[in-house]
Amino acid sequence: MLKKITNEIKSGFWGFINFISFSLETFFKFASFYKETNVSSLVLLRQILFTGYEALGLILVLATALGGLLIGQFGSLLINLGQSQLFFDILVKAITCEISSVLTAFLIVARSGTAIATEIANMKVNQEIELIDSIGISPISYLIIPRLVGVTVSCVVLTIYFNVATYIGGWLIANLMHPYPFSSFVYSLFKALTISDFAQAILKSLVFGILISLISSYQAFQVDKAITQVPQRTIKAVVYCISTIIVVDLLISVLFALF
Amino acid sequence: MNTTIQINNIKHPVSSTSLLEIENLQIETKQNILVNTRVNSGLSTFLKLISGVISPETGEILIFGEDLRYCSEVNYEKIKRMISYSFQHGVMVSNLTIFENLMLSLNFNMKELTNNERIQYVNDFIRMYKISQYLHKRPVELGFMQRKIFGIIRSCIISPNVLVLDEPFQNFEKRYTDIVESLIERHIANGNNIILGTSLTQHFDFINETIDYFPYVQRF
Repeated sequence: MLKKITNEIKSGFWGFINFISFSLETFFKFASFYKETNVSSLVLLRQILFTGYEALGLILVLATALGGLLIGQFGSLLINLGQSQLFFDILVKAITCEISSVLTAFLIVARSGTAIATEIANMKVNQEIELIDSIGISPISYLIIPRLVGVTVSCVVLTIYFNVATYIGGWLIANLMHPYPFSSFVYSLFKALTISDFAQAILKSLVFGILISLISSYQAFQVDKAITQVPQRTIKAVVYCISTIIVVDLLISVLFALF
Repeated sequence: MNTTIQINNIKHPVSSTSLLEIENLQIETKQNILVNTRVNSGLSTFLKLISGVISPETGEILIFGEDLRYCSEVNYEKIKRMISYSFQHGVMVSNLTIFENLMLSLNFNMKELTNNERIQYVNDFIRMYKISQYLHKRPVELGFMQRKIFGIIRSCIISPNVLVLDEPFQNFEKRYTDIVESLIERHIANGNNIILGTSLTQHFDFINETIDYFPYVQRF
């Protein structure tokens, strides 16, 4: 039993070291990505289209509904408690600092993280990675870096859209409950929103985007030759992405709270 | 630079039960070589190793005097441009069309041409073999033979100094065999060389030397 636990810890440790070296290799290959934009720009464009543009509708609907829900619930509660002056502060802390980046990241994990892991893992099984390498193109600069850039840019942009849609959804519900001019809503919102809150949301989405693409790609690259490994690695990618997002979210929140 | 490929004491697993082991092997330039073998003897692994597609677990392989694992990025690109491997099962990037697959090779290996010139080059090349109707299909939409023929074309289109063909005539009907023969003739006529691996006991006029591959695989 003890031996099994020791082996698990050892394999987890080496897995982490391998992931770090994979991530470093990816960052070092950034230069060759810029040099080979004629072959990798199409992959980047497709990634932004899939992760950023095609997910926009889903993000907007979810964010608007969530904004309505939050403002509907918390608004009534705070008014009843006589703390309505805290309404916008709570809203900004909950939505901008936490929910927007984390929920957007979860949606990206569900859509793009799984897609990246499955696609690259299948390419690995079908020898397509070997083919790309045989042409002389680095699979990291052709397959990973465009996805990393695409997912990260999309994650940041979608987080901003998520915030805007949540506030608009919130205002719609607030306006239905108690007529409230939009200009006053925006004014109060911007009064409560600090640069630090906004920076926190952007930083989180940036880090989440990088982590989602790296973890998904790394797991896909671990597939050997069996097609049965593809779903196993995809599930691992999702689990590791979600766990890492929560831990990193906590770390960034603590950092911002301390400094 | 007379030696194209130099193999020194390599060991590499072919499957979970067999190991490829070669002490010393040299393949000289200006030779067209037939690698003769039997089915399931690790031929693809051997050809991938000498093309630099995969690296040996132990030992070293020098391709045009360089070990691809340790050479500079410039030399790596240069060598990849000089030696091209055609996969046995006609592997192509599945999310690209045939045309995009061919362009991928050219975009990387023929940077001296403009994009329009590369497009023209692909179209002219394919028109010669009368198979342009497949150009805008994805690999999954094609049959095995069509995919394989485009895999061979993908390797030839960049005019590498050494073209490594893995079972190029296996499971082909006559018209596709004719295309492969024509591609090989064209390649040799341009002053380049080929390394052809096959289990077929067939005579090829263009072959100068035969390597007997059997002794190299150990089974356990």
